[in-house]
Amino acid sequence: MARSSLAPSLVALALLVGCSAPVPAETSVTLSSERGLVDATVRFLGPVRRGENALVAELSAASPGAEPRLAAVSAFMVTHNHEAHAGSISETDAGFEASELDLFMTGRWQLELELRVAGEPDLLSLPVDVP
Amino acid sequence: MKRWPCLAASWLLLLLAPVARACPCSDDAGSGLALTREDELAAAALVMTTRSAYGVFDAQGNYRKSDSDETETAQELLLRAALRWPRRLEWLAELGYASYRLHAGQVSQEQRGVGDLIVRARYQLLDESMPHEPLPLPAVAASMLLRAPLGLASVGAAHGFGSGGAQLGLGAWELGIGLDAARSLSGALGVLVAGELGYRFEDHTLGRARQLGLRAEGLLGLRASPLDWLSGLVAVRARSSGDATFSGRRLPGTGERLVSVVVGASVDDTASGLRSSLTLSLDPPWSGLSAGSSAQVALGVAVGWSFDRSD
Repeated sequence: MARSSLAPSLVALALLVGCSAPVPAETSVTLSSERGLVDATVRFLGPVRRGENALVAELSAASPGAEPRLAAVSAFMVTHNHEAHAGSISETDAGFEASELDLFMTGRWQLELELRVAGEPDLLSLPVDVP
Repeated sequence: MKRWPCLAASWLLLLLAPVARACPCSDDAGSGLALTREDELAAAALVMTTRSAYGVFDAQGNYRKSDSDETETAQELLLRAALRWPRRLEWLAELGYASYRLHAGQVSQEQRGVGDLIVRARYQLLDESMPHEPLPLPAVAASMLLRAPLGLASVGAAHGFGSGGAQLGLGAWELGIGLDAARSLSGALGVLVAGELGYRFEDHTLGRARQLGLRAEGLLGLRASPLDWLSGLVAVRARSSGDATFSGRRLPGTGERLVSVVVGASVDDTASGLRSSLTLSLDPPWSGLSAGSSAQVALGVAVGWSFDRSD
């Protein structure tokens, strides 16, 4: 009987342990905003690391003539209740640069870029892995 | 003469309830086995646990030792009280208090407060068959769990908990079901198998709609009782939770997986009702074994009392 209890338990344990790992998040990615108002290329400046990070967001509006702006950058580790915010956002020739983003814990964070385009809010969301 | 070494060992170890006989990981939801035996009416226990993280697993399961500027520690008190009424049904309530500290680079936090209230009902479905019976059935029990988010995490004032901060609350209601089985291999040896599934309801701990993934937990243990009053347990526990949903979006890679090895010893003086236990839990630092979680070592010391049934 012990064997008959052990076998399914070991199988279950193996399934738990062996479940597939998520695909590593890219550190340079092109994507569209949630409402489709903005296309963006988001690129981390240097390898992502535990601690302060910086990124550049090149934004282009889907509607001609509109000028999208990066209003805020936040990061969440939703399972652990972690939250972090970029301390500085500036406009450069390469795009909007967000810096002083302290991803202080190893693991997967969800990055959220709050946008404004023609007075309308929009959002970009992407994962980032901190090694 | 026969009793004093038992009592002395009880006080010497400062230990608790049926933890080694059951599940030593008594400070977490999941794989919760009984606190009372079937011949007991009630039991209460106080569990003191100190835990410290020594590493972390990333989303892909790669292990990294903690850097010198990273510390995550917690000291916890957990009060457990159980009533067995009727005889085959145990009602168990748990409420904890924890002091949690996280230091990671420029971030430094310290939080103290109560954890979530967990209420569990466990019904003994099947008794272990006698050795002479042709079909060697194990003892089987089914349980239901309800977690009420009373902890500090649920009030929205504690953003930034590390993975060990679960002792201060999950921030969400949880409903779980479990099944456990135990079977003697010989007079002194027995095997335990337990599993539990937990559904977490949507919460707003981070200010927006969040739903933690389904929790699955399994435990496989080997129990040895060399003496009537002394038992030991070696167990492997695997815990997994699915990806979380945030603002209506499922976030791949936010699930967790953690495998722990647990060893414990328990002393049980049936005459006085005093029980005590000592438990050590370690999350093996092997890449691929766990993911999305910190690797911790935890030492738990517990003391408890039980009350026999009068009938």
